[in-house]
Amino acid sequence: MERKTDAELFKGIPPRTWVALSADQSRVVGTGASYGEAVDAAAAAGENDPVLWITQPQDGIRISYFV
Amino acid sequence: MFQPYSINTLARDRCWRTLSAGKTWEPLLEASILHAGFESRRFRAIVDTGAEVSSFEASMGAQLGLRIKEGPMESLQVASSAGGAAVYFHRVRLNIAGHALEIWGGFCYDLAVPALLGRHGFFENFKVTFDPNRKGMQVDRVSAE
Repeated sequence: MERKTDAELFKGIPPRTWVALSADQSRVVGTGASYGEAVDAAAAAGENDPVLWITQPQDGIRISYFV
Repeated sequence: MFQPYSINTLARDRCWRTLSAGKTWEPLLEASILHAGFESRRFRAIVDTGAEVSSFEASMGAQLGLRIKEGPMESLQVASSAGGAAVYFHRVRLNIAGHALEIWGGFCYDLAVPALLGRHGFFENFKVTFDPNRKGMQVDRVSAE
């Protein structure tokens, strides 16, 4: 099965939110305002090997990754 | 190692859509950082040839026990902005592509992604080939001299 794009995975999650993905990056297992919050949310969901990311704005074209 | 690009949806449906079916690609690698025996969870890092240094979102470093603002501070100059974001440098171990490297990492609270892999800390240690035919990157460690 083709992997979901970030736009599909993160639908409904506001930009600049820390997200914890499952170990295979197929689903979101936790979110938070910081790295630590997202890691804690993942652990609470039973995922102890998450992959972390920050959701990106879906409008505009990015040439820089600073707030 | 070979890392396929991450495929994402283009933010706008203008010039590129007809050329790329509304998709774009991102050069991402999984990485983690270590400090004082504590290792972060894995995170996605963007391979960024335009970044002079490798940098990390600061809350990750704080979680590992780094006293972020006690590190040497520099001002980041971003191409699109006149202002400079503060970045604090710390010695950390970067785990990436099956290798562990001791680097000076910049930690910045204004970074909008977990990490940027820039020229110092990353490209000085790896040969990276962007391959449009294979839709991914070949990432190989450069032998230490």
